Amino acid sequence: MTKFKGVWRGKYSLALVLLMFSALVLGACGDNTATTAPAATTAAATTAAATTAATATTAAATTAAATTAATATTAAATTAAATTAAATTAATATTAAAATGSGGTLVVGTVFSSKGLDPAREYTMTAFMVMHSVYQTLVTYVGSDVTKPVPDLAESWTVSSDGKTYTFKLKSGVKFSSGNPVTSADVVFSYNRLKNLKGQPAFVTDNMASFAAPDPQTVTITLKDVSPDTLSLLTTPSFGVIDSVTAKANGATDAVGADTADKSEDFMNNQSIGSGPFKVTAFKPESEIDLAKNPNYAGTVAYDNIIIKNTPDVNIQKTSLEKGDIDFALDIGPEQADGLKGAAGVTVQQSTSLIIFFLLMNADASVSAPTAKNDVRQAIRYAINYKDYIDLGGGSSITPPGIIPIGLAGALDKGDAPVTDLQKAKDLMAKAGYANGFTIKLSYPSDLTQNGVKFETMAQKMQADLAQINITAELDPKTIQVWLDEYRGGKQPMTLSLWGPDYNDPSDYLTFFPGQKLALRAGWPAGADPEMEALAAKAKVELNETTRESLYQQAQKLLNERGPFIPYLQPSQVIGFRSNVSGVSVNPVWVIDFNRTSKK
Amino acid sequence: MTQYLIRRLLLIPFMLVGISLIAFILSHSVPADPVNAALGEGAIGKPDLVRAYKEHWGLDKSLPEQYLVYLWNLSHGDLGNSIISRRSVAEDLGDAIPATFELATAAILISLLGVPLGIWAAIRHRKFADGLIRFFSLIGSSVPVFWLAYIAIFLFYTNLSILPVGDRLDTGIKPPTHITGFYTLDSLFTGNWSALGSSLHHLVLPAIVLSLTTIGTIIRVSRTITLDVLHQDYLRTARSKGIKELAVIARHALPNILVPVVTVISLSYGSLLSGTVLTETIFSWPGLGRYAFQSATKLDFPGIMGVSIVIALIYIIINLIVDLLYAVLDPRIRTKAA
Repeated sequence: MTKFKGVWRGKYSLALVLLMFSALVLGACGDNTATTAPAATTAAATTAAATTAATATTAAATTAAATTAATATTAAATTAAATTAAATTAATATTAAAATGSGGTLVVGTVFSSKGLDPAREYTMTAFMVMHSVYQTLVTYVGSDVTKPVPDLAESWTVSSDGKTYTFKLKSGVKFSSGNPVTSADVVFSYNRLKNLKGQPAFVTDNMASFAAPDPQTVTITLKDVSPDTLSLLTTPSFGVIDSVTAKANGATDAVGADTADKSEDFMNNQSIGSGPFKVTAFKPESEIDLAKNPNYAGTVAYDNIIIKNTPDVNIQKTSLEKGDIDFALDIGPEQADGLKGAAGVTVQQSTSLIIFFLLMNADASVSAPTAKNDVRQAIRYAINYKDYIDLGGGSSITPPGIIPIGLAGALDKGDAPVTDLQKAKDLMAKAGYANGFTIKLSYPSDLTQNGVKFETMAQKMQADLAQINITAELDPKTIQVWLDEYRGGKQPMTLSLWGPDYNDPSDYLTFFPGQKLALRAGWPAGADPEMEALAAKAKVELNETTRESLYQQAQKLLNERGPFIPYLQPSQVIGFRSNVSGVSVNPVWVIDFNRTSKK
Repeated sequence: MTQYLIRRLLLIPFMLVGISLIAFILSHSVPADPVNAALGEGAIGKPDLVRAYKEHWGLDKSLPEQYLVYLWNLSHGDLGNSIISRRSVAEDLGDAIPATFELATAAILISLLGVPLGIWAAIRHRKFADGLIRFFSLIGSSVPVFWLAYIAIFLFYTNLSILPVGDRLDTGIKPPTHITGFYTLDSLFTGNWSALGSSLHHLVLPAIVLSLTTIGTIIRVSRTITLDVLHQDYLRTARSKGIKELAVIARHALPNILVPVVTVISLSYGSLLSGTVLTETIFSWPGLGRYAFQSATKLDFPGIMGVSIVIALIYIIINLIVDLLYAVLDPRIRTKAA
């Protein structure tokens, strides 16, 4: 028995020691190969593509524009760190030839937010990205420019003199993936279905009274009120045009009552019936969406296949990108971007997102007496250390000058951004009678991370900022669903929140003006500020673009001076991709237009 | 025995009703509105869209009414549709359950190694091997699983490039024809060798990481019980009769060790089956744990109810199997039950 024990002890220990040793050695080897990558490739990998609010000057309303892509020129290899470069290098978007149709397969890693792909039902990032590749809209945006709509299915359009009727001429010869031709009847069917299905995205048709198809190539949209954001709205993937013949054959309807009568949901979720460059071939909501080239697409198609994989862990997204298992990592944040510095074969592109993080201070004295005083709100405005938030956001983050983010029409100049001035803040507090400060509850969604920035961190930062002027902020973390309930109830004295554009137009920000949805959450009813309300109302219907932008700017200046919101950060949008992919630019609504990228 | 089985089976529906009621009350006591979770800022401001949504999902009805409707549908085998994704809960669970079963089964098979290791550690009580195994089991049961996962990924995926991470198959490989939902078995049955290789390859890392958490417990329990048994009089008697140590353990100690060990193993299996959110998230494994997490965070009531009922069912069935196994393993229980 003694012998039996001894032999085994020796063998076992030896085997284990060997195993551990080999693991260590192998681990070390792996590290070496990673760090001794050829200098040339490492340098090339760090080149930064700058697309900060890209100013692509692609001519609008010309057919040529539709076939050209605004590809951000990659900065020279000498530009060192991607992060700093992106912020300083001016956006030099040049017009280059569209993707050459190199074929092959593109693999995209992202966190799925979507369970379906029906344009009239889904309102999520993942779905928008897919819809933009499989459904065409009448007009669209190219590259990261979201100020000038260009033709997509429409060839040209006119607006009636009263601004209430839009008439679109469709391009001829465009076909759906089924082979059916795209006609005005399809457009009208898709739009009526969007409206009558009463799904999440139905609100985008709110101002549209009716749609008509006077002839197969003509579509008219009649508005309820004059609204200059109409073209911009029409670019959103919700207005994707579906093949009405195939849709009807599978239970779809566009009639009033479609919210109960439409039986096409399953069908629409599992394939696409559009005219875009790709079509959906498989949809597994937990793991993968497969797209294949639409053989009936008239233009060039960049890839034979696109595979979009659900990669819920962002660190794995980063690693998979480094290993080359995926071509795109769409959800990495500033932290992962830092980790990718110098990674061979990987490009990290940072651009300023169109998301606004803001502090809401309730203006209703019955909810919060101190913040009902504008002097207190202004004091807080001067007390915030804006630079610290830029550090949190990383890369191309900026301090937004107003509630409309830089990058959208009607935004204020960067120079209008708020500045930190503690003395001024303290003086204002004294003037309001709060020299000794006060205690207030600061709510925030504790489980929310947006663009890689945790609300938890921002709340702690805000608490410290407020303490500088003797305001004691009691943190009130809530899970997002509970927080949303309170937030939408409008009874929070102070909260951190965010706003991302539903569509790329300043009119989406009118909600922050007195009496509107967001303002009501801040206890700011209609009539609270007639001057500001008048400006907002005028901006909403002004058709002259220059005047319109100026009206939005004037209204925002007043909002900065007297409103209950402080926009404190416009965070960076990080996109990681393999360096052999080019033509990458970020759109705030559909993220990436895959057909305008290409892979060598 | 048969009578006992029938009695146990008859209890199941009542237990499910109880579970569904508890799940319903708990999920509805969260101070938040599912409409908020389902509708974005654009739709939430439009009363007609909110109304259409509530009517469509029956959220405009009173809570008792909602529960009764749910029970009625459930008794007809209908788990309803998710109010967030609008997909059929049964269909989603039908995809998620086999994925989790496959992973959990692989992990528990690896964890079975814990039984001989635990017994061996007990035999080598306070010797080097014992210390080593105890150290290993301590790490397994105390180190957080996400940390182990990242370390394993760093080593085997990032550095050594020998194992893949994410999803159940390589990109581009189509899943095998659905028979059991286990990709490994299905590809084996259909002779789809590329899918078999790929699915096994993808299973290794998450299964090992997951097994490390259960193997620790199994080792500890096996070791403690063996230690206890080894000092029993009947073993001393057996040894004194001159029977070899190996035979003493195999024939006299093992049967007494197995009963409690089987309980631990099956409970571990149950916990693995009810889903492991972290492991499934890190390895992009489309299983039950992630589905449960998503349903809970989005206040997707039908999803939450569906998951609760399935997990309850899993535990009920496992417990039943364990009780039946006892009878097989322990003659005393066999006589009592019969």
